[in-house]
Amino acid sequence: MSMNDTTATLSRERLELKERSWFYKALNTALKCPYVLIAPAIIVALWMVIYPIFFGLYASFTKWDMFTKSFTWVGLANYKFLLVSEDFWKTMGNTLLYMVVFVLAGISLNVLLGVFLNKNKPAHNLIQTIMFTPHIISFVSVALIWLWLMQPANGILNYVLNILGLKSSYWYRSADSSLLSILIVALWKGMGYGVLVVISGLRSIPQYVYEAARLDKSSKPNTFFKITLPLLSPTLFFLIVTSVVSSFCTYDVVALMTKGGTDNSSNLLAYYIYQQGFLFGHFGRAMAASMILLVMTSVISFLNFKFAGKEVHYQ
Amino acid sequence: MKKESILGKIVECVFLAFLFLLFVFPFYWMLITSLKTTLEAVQFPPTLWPSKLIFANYADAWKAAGFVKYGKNTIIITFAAVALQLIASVPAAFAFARMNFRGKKLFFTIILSDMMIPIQAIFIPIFLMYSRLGWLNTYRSMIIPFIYSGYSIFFMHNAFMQVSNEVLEAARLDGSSELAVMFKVIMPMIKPVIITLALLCFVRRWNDYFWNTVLTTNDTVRTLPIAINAITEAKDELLRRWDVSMAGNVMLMAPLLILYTVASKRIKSAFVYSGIK
Repeated sequence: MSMNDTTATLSRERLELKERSWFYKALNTALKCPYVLIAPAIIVALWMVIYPIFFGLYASFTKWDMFTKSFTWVGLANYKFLLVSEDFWKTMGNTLLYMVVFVLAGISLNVLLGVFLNKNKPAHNLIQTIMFTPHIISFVSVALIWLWLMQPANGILNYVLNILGLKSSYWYRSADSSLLSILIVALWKGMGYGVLVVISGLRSIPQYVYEAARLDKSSKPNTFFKITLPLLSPTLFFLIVTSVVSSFCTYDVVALMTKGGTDNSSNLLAYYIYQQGFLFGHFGRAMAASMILLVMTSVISFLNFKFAGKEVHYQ
Repeated sequence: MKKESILGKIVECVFLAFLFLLFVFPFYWMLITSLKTTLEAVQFPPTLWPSKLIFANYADAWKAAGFVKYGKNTIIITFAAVALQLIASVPAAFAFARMNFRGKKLFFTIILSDMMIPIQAIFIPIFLMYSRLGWLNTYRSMIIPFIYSGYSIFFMHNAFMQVSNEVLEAARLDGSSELAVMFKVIMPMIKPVIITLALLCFVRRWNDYFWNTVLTTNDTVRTLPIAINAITEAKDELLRRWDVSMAGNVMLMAPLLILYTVASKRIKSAFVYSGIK
C-alpha cells in the first residue's frame, strides 16, 4: 500500500470518527496521556510484585497466627531458625548441587546438540522440532510421563536396565537417586529450548569468520574452541543466567515427582518455602526463606546487568 | 578419507536415531499405555504394542478428571489473562516507547521488576494478601496478576521503538486522531510481536501449575493440569490406573500439540525471541 492510499484511508477514518460517541473521544484523549496508558500495568506491578516484597520482608520478622490472622514481631528468630535447621541446609545444598548440574550438564548438552543439529537438513530440523515439544507442554504432562517411565515396580526404564543386565533402580522413590531423577526430567524438558537458543546464536555468527578459519587451515576442534565458543559467549551467558535463576526457583518438578523425597533428598528451596508455609503453617519462616531466595536471584540478576553486553561481546 | 566420511555418516545417523527415540518414545509410551487395558498397562515385562486397543480409558479419564468443569476454568483463566494482558500492555508499551513524561525511567524500572523477581519468592505474601481480601479461590485471583507482564511490555516497547517517526507524523499531520494512528498505522506494524506475545501468554497460562496449586485452597478455580495430576495422586501408589492417567494426559496436551504442529515455527521463534532480544 502506498503512502497516498494510507493517507486516504486515514482521512476517511477521521471523518467517520467525528460522528462517534463520547467513549471514542475519551479513549482518544486518554491516548495522549501517558499516565493513563501505563496506569493498569503500573498498578498491578506495584500491587502484585513490589508490595509483596516489602510485605514479605516485614513478615519474615514476624510470626503469623493462623487463627487470629495477626502478626507478632519476633525479630530475627525466623532467620535464626533457618540457620540452625538441618533440613534447611540440606535443602540449600540440594539447590546448589541441582543448579550446578543443571547448568553445566544442560549447557554443555545444549551446545553439543546445537552444533550437531545446526545443519539445515530435514532430519536435523525434524529432531529440533520434536525436541522442543516438551518445552511447550505443562510440567504436569512431563512429570506424569516420567513418573510412569520411572515406576520402580513396572516402569519401562527398569525393564531397559534389566535387559542391559543392570539392576532395577528406585528412581525418584529412593533417597539416593531422587535428585538425579528430577534433574533428568528437568533437563529433558528444557533441552529443546536451550538447543534452539544455541542454534539461533550460531546463526548470528557471520560466515566470513569461518571462511577465514578455513583459509588458515584451522582444525575443527580449534575452530570450535577458538571461534565458535567465544562468539557464542553472549548466548551462553544468557543461557547460564536464565538456567541459574530457573534452577533456584525450581518448584514444579519437585512438587509433582518427589515432594521433597525421603529425608529431603530432593527438596529444593522453592518447595521448602511452600512446605514451611502451607504444610507446616510457619509463614514467617517461609518468608525468611523467600527473602534468601530473593537475594540469591537478585545477585544473579545484578551480575547479569553488570556484565551482560560488556565482557562477553567479542565482535 | 572416504571411509572416514562413511563412518561419520553412520555415527551421525545413529545419533539422530538416538535423539529421536529419546524425545519421541516417552510420548509414544504415554499414548500406548492409554490404549491398553489396566491389566496390560501394569504388566511387567511391558508389551510394546497393546494386544487389544481400548478407548474406554479416555471416557474414564474424562469423568475422573472432571474435564468439563476444569476445562471451563482453564479456558476462562487462559483467555481472560491473554486478552487483559494485551489490553494493558499495548498502551503501556506505546507510552514508554513514543512519549516523554516525568518519572518515565522510574516507571519503566517498576515495569521491568517482574523480570528480576521470581514469583516463587513472593507467592506467600500474595497468598496472605488474597486471604485477607477474601480473594482465594476466585477467578480474579488467577487472572489479575497476569494483566501485567514486564516481558510483554518490554518486547512491545522494543517493537514500538522501531516504528519510524515519519510515518506517524504523516498520519498526524493528516489530522488523524491518536486512536486512528494507533489502530490503523501502528498496530498493523507490530502485529507479529503481539501475536507472539499472546501465544506465549496462552501457552504459559494453559500449562500453569505453580500459581494454580499454590494460591488456591479448594477446587473452585483449579485448572486441567491440576485435575489431570489428581487422577493419579488421589489413589494409592499401587492401585494407580496409569492407563487412565495417561489418557487424561493425552487429552491435556492435545490442544497444545495441535497448536504446535500448526504453528511450530512461530511458537519456536516466540519462545526464543522472548528470551534473547
